[in-house]
Amino acid sequence: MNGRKVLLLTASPRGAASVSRALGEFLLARLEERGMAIKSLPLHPALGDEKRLAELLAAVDMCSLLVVSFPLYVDHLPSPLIELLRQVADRRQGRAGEARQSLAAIVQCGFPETAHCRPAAEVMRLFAAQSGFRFLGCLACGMGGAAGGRELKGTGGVARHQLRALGEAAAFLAEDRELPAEVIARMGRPMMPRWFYNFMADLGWKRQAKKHGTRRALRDRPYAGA
Amino acid sequence: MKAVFLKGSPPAGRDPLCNRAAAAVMAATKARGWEVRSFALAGMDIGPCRGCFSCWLKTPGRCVIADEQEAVLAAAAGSEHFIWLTPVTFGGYSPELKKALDRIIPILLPFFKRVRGETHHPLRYPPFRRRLLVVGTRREDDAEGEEAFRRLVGRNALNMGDAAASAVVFSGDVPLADMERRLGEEPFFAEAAR
Repeated sequence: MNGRKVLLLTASPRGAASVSRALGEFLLARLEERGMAIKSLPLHPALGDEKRLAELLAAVDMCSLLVVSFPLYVDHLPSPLIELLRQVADRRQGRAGEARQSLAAIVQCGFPETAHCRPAAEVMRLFAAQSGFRFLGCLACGMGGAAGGRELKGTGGVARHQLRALGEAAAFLAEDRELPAEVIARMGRPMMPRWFYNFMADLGWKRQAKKHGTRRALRDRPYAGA
Repeated sequence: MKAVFLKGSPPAGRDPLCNRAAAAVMAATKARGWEVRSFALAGMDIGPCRGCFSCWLKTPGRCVIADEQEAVLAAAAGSEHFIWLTPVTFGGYSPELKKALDRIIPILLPFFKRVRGETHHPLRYPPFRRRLLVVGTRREDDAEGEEAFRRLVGRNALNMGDAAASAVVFSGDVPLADMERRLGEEPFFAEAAR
């Protein structure tokens, strides 16, 4: 153990099926291998539960490195995560000079292009600056749907760039160093050709709709004329 | 002219500047005779998105969570004009605004289309060309945060059917009359009047 503590905070409502969780847990395991004490907490069970929320906020206070992993929602962070960050920032007002803490982020989206994640990465950087964390970088990737719901080691090589990037990132984060541009770029590499991802995604929607008996209703307009 | 106004101000009284901007928006729409559906999101029962995609697959176009977001969706479906108001929060939106936006995807289709070289979802309802005005407020100047905010608005516009979008940020203690004048100069209002 190197005496440093990492807290993984996953802000996805999807629990065990969450890609954000899988990416975060993969990184967490690599950080543990490098001697960090690890802790993992999901945000959503703490929503509306004061005791759990207090535990989560206390864990944020105690960690040396906070890793926030989340899915992109409408170009941005999910609402509950913004609310949490606002609370964390409020708690940290006037605490300058206390033990140095660092922050890194992981964000993934279902679009094939990683560029969709840029505003969210920027928000995380600004949050860090405004609340006294040292920002070590944001690992972003598109095509999150391709890795959906599986442990990353079981993705059959689809997420190989992301796995390698997370492993490389662990080496920097464990030493409290900023993530280099090449690691961030590797994380953002496509998992497959864009045309193929889009084709499979459209096919996937249609197949799932067939299963639910809604294949002919996908384009329905329930609020037309409202 | 129909507009949907999503007010993402914090709970009552916590952000007077944001409340003043809300009054300026209402004055600007009223002066032009617009029909505005206004939602004060902080006081509304809108739960967090579950990320289940039921709104695309099981009940296409409807969210399976039964709460006040349904009224937002019904209003947003056919409205040409969207106005969002928020305190600029870490260069982005408040959780109050975001809780409604997180669950706006039923007005989109699950399929992909190319928009300006990127992949996006098409709108479910006409009109397929919308207009978006996002009004941000800040107690102090923060050039970096404002730049990030404007970039975010640009990204949102692409995801809302490549909407014609603009962002206005009021910093500091801006009087109501100045806010009204500034908003009146926006293409969002000026072009709609033509």
